[in-house]
Amino acid sequence: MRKTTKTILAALVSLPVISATAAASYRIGAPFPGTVTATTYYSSGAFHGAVDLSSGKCNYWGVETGLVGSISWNVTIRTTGIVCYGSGSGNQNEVKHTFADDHVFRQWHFIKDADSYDRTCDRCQIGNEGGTGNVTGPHTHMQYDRYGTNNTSWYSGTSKGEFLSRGETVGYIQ
Amino acid sequence: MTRPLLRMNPRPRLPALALAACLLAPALAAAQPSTADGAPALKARTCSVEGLMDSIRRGLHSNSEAYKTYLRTLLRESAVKLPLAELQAAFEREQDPALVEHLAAALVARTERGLEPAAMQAVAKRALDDPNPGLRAATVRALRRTGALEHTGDLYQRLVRDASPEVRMEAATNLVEDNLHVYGGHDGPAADSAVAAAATSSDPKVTAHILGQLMTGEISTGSAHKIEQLLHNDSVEVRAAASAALGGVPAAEAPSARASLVSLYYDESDPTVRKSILQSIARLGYASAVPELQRLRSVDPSLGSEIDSWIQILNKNPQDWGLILREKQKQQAR
Repeated sequence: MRKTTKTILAALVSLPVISATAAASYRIGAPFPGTVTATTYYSSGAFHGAVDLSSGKCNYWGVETGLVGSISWNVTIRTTGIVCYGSGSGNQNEVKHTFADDHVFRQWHFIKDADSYDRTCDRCQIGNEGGTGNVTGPHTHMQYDRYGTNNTSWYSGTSKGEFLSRGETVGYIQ
Repeated sequence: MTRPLLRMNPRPRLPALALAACLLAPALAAAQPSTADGAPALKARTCSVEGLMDSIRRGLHSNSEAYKTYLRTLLRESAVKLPLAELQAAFEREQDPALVEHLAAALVARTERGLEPAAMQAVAKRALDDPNPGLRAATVRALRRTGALEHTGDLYQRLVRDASPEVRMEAATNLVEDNLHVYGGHDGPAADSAVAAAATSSDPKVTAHILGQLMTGEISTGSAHKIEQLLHNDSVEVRAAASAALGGVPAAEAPSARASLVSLYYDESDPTVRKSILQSIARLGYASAVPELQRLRSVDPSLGSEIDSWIQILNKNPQDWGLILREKQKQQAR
């Protein structure tokens, strides 16, 4: 009996989706199950200012938009075809939402598929995990910026090496 | 329908919230009488639309707004795993406005999560057709901050003409909040829909509510002209809101908007509208608006200090409207 109660409570506590903070800001969920491979700095010490998430697989089905809530998304396809290990700097496929205060939330590097088009939705499929643009391997890069400056505070609870299941909280914005 | 969610969704990666829906009922039941050894007596429950609605019915009496939000989110998040027919049937027979809003939000969530557009359309239909204005208003609220503008045709143009002022105002709030929060104020068609609804409504409060808060930076030429026409509305609040809205129009529409505003300034007698016009002239021209503002100084001496205030700020040549507005607010506070 006690074990059952503990299981219930543990499951409820582990539900970030319905935390009280979600009401006051936008929650960002992991777009697919994967491991955080970089946050503010790369292992080299170079600035990154975003969260990289990788499942270790290329063309892995179903990169979702991370923002929880109905949001309009703008998709830019710069590379077609299945690219896993880079197609050159600036050639990443991108999905982004621009907020009223000009902050932008972006996700990069996915492989284009039939779902890669502009639309308004809540956690929609936008492509497959890939390596378009300037990368060394397939992953999704999640960035929140304004006027060219990356915000690094939104993912403060997420660490490099951490595994995130699909939809698990990466951070909060606004 | 009382099948457990687990059975309906046999995939191994069960979403956390669907799981929560199953777990919530026993957790609540823990408050029931204890067993002889002191442990709470758990009561077996299944997960269903009815089960969730029972939880929400109980939760509505809670003093905790956070708990109510939790329940609303729980149903909305679980909606994609619940059977559409059962959800829709529950929505259609429900008569309590609070529960109608929850069920409508759950149906809308299905469409927003990529499932059937028909779910949102069922909500839109009730928003238009239900004979009870309270239920229509609740249903309209459930469409707030969603992509309803893209899925429901001329819904909002019809809602702003609803017989009930409550429904009309809820629709206006949706248009404002959808534009701001779903589209970030950067979507031309969404803003055009809001302008069309504002122009269609004969309720001055609705028109003013929409235009007073809408970001108009992406609107079409046609929408800009519609707002210009509203400058001649009989209502002071509509004229003030239309004046404010014209301050943010795209650069291509600025000359026409500026001319309309200046023309109205000469004919207008209400000081609130005149202040709104001055602000929009400043916004459209920044430093280049100074000569125009100087010419307007003689029209109404009582607004001389207001014009001087704008001229003083604009002569500093700031390049960001937010900074200009902040400076103006500082001056007003002094």
